[in-house]
Amino acid sequence: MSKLGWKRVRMCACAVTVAGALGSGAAQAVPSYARQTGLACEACHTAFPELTPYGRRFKLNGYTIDNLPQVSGISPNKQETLLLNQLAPLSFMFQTSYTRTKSAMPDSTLPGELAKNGQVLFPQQASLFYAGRIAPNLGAFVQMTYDGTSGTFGWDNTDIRYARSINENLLLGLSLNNNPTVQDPWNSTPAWQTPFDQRSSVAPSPGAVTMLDGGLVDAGVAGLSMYGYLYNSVYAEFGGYHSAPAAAQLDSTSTNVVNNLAPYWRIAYEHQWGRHSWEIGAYGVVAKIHPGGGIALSGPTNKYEDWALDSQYQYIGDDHIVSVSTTYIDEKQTLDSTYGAGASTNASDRLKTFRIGTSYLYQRKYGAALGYFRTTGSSDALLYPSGAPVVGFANGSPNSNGWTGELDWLPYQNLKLALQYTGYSKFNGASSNYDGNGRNASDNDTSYLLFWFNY
Amino acid sequence: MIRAAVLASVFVALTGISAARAAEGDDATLRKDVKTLIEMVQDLQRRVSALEAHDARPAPNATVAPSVVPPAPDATVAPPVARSAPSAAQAAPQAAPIAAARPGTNLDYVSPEALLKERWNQIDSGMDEAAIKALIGAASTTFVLDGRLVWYYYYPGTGRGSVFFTDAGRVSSYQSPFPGFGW
Repeated sequence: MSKLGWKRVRMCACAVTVAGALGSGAAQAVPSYARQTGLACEACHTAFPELTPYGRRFKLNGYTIDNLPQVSGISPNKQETLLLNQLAPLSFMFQTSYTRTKSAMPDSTLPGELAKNGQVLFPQQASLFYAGRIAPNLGAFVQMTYDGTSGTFGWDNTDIRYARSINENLLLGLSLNNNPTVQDPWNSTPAWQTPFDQRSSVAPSPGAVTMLDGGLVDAGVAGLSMYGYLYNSVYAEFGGYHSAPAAAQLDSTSTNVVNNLAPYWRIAYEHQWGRHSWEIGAYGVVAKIHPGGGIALSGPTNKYEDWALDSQYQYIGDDHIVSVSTTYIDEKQTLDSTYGAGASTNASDRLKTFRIGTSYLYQRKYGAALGYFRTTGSSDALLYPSGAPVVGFANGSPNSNGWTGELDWLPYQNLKLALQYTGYSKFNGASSNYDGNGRNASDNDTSYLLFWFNY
Repeated sequence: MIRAAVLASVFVALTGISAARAAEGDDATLRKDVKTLIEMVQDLQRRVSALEAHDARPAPNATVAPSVVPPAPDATVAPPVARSAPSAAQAAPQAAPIAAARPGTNLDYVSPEALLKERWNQIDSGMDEAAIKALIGAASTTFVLDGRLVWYYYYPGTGRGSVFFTDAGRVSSYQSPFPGFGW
C-alpha cells in the first residue's frame, strides 16, 4: 500500500464483522476498535470481516484488551488511568452495489412483463456502530442500519459482552446478542461466514433456510449465553434465545414466535502453530416455535432441532493469506402446529445445508475466493409450494445448489471492491422451470459488484 | 548535548539583557524584551526538535527521557523479541511522553504533538526497524501477535499506536496514536 494510502486510512477497520444471516447478509467493519486499542487492522483481521486468532481473542475478551497479556499493564502504574474512551467508539459503514441477473425478473404487478435488469442500490446498507469498550471487561458491538432495499433504518447486529480472565489459562464471559452465532469468534458459522459474507440483497436466493442459518434471526430473537475459553484452544458456550420481535405485543399476528427459550450450544477446538490455525467445532439450537400468522400462539408448536459442524483453517503469512471454512447444518423439523393446521404435507421434515469456501489474499490487497453451497431436504408440497414466479418450488423440493466466485481489491484496509458471480445448478427444487412459470435455475445466476468502506 | 548548549546560551542571554533593562527602569521595554526572549526560546526549541528528528544516528550517550514503560520484565507483558528488542543505547530518539502544547506568539511554533503526529505520518510500509526507531523512537513495549512482531507505543494522555513488522523486519502496517475524525 502506498504511503499516501496509509495516511488516508489510518483509521482503518480493525474489528470487522458480518451478519450473513440477516437476510442478504449484513456485513460491517468497525474502525473504532483500532482507535481504541492502537493496534493496526491486521492485528484482528486478514481482510475484513475475517478474524485472525488474535481478533478472536479480542472478541472473546469482551471487545477490550484489558485482559490480554500483550498489552495489559502498559501504563506506568500497571492500570488504566482513564477508563473511558477519549473518543466515543463510533464507526460508520457504507455499501453501494450493482446487481444483474442472467435473466430479468418478472414485473411485480404486470403479468408477462419484465423488470429492468441491473439494479443499483445506493446505499445497499449504511450503518452506524457503537463498537468498543464500555467499561473494563465490558464491551459492545452495536449496529444500526439503513437498508437500501427496504428503505428502513433499524436495529441490526448486537453483541454486548462481559469477559473476565479467571487465570492465565481460562477466560469466562457472557454475551447478550440478537442473532445466533453473531457472538461466535470463527468465520465458519452463519452470522459471520466468510468468504462471501456479502451477497446481493435484490437477487433471488434459495427459499429454504434452517433456523441456525437465518430462520431465528428473521423471527427476531434476543439471547444470553455464557462461554468459556480454555488454553486459547477449547471453547464452550451455552445459552438460550427468546422471541424479541419489533412488535407491540406477541399474538396471532406475529410469525415464528419462539416458545419459552430456545437453547443454544457451541463447542470448538482451535490449534495454532506458527502462522497456521485450524478449528473444528459443533453448534446447535433447539427451538419450539409457534408459526403464528393467524394461528393462535398456544397449543402445539413446531420443533426445530438443528445441529451443525464447522471447521476453519487459516494461514496468515506476510504476503500470502489462505483461508478455508465450511459448515454443515442438519435440521430436524417436527411440524406439529403446521401439520395440524394443514399447512404441511408431512408431520416431520428434514433440511440440510452445506457450504465450503476458500479464499486467497495477496499482500492484504488483492483477493480471490471460490465456494460451493448446497441445500437438500424432504419434499413437502405444502411447505414448499409451486406456482409463484421466481420464488416458487418444483415438486415441493427445497433443493438448491451452486457455486460462487469472487475477486476482491482492497486499495486501503478500510475499503473493499468486490466482484462476485453466483451460478445455480439447481434452484428451489429443479434446474429448469423450477417455479412453474418457465424460469430456470441459471436465470438467477447473479453478477454483483460491491463498493464497501468503513470509517 | 545540543539541548543543553542551547539552553545555556539562552539562559546567559536572558540574564544579561534582563539585568541591563532593569537598571534602566523601563518596564515597558523590559516586557517587550521578555516577550522577544520567549519567542526566541520557542524558536530554539523548535530547531532543537527538528535537529533531533532528523538525526537518525543513534547517540550512545544521549540524555533521553525514560521510556513510558520501564523495560523491566513484567509478568503481564510478553517478553521482547530478541531480534528486535530495543536496547537503551539504541533508544534515541525516545518515544517518551510528549510535553503539553503551549501556544506561543510565534506563528512558526510547532507543538510537540504536531511533531510527533508528523513523524507517525511519515511511516511507510516497507521501512525497516531502524528507520522506525529513528522516526518515532523506541516502543513502549514489543510483543508478538500470531507470529507477527508488534511495536506498541503508549503516550499518556494522547493515545496508543502500533507498528507491525514482517518476518523480514519491514513495516507491514501501523496504527497512529492520533485518532480523530478527519485528517
